[in-house]
Amino acid sequence: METGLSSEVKINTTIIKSYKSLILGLLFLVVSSAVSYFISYPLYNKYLANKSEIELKVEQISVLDKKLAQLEKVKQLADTIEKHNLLTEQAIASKDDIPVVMTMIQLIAENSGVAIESFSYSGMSRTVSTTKASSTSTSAPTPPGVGDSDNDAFKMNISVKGKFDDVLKFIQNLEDYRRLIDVSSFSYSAEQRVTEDSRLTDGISLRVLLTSFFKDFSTTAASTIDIDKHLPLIQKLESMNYEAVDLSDVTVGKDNPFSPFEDTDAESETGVEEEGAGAETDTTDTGQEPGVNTLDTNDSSSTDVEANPGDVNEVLQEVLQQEGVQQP
Amino acid sequence: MPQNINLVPSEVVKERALHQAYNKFVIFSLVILVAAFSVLGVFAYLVSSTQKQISTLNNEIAAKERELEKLKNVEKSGAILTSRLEFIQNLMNNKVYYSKVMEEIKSRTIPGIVVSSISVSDIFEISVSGTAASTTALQNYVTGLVAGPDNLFFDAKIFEVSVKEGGGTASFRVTVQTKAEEIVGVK
Repeated sequence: METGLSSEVKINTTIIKSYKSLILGLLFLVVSSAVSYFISYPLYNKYLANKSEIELKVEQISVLDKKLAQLEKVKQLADTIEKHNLLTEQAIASKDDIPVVMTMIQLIAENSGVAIESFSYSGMSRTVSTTKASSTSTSAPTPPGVGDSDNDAFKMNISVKGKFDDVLKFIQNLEDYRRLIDVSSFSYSAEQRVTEDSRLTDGISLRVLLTSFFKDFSTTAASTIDIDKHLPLIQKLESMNYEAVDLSDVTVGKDNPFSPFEDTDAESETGVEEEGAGAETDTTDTGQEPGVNTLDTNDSSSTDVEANPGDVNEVLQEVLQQEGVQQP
Repeated sequence: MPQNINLVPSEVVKERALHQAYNKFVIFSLVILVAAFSVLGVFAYLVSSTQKQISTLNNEIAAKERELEKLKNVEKSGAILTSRLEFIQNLMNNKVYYSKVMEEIKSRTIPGIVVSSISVSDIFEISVSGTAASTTALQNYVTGLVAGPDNLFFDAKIFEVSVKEGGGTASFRVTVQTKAEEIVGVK
């Protein structure tokens, strides 16, 4: 019995020994298959996917290179564009910066030697009409041909007083100012008609309707950049007078907004007090009570903002309030 | 002639042959295994290499896109500048220089005339009011306003004349047309 059992075990061991190599070989094959199927094959797929991705990216780079090559000229012009943009922003603002324009006019008047008697804000107008104005002298003829585009403009009636040559200089300075302010209409009148010895008095009064344009170009679609075509215009703009106006340092805050004017340094802050010295009692010819300062944005009617020379800060503040512009 | 006598039992011979076959199978399997791992290694290398390549390309694309974005902003600024310049050019072309009108009136006013007001009746129509020392002076003034080839004015009309009692001075209102090409967009 014992001998029989040991012989069976021996046989089984021999069988196992004899199949050992076979099992090992099979194991190798299984491992190889598993490695190939579960690791190599996904890696192969990943490699193929990467290869396609690389091709796509190379193509993408090629497209980007082409675009960059196209914009290479723009790159060279970057500084010029930035410089000219600043210049043209001075010529045409992107928003209705009425206080700035009013201050500019005040400065032009000062430099021309005339005294501003009144500022009268005459309202906004969208898309200026190209039609001829009516034939009344009080109407506002608009420059022809500028209304085709969707531009905005605001108008101001301004009365100034001074010598003929100074008033003429004022008009010329307005025309030569970089910020485009059109003289839409004007009316001169001698302060005193004729003296006893039939001589014209030196002083004349000028009432002028000014139009200032603004337009927001931020939504402009990309177009061909052709600066060379406009070089004469750029040179002309560069040669025009301009004085930057910064209203950011205007003193704000008053304990009692209803309290009367004080002898503050407000006038000297904007530097407009000197010109007004000779005309401190001037009022407008509208017959309106001083201090009744209502603004109407309706283009057809206007209400004067009384402005004694040197009171430009008050006028500006009222306009700012009416326009809803927050002071800095 | 000597004869080879095979003394090994046929079972043993069979078993040996089987062992040899198994060994060969093991070697074959081993080769397959090595090949499988080699392929795995190659693919792993290729994937790693392509991943690196993709990463490099991504960086390159990102850099180029940044540059492009920057240039696009410049392009946009350029487009805005072009539009703005065209707009300004249009405004300048249509700008009316009334100072030239004033200069012209100043240069053409004769001593016998005292101008009291000048106003724009229409874009190109100017109204001049004042006092003339005599009707002759007024006549000379109106004639002088439109005289000469390089004149800014044409078509002068006397609208009102009021001679004061006892002769002498006469108040007047004159309208005169201005040549558009002389005062619009030209300075």
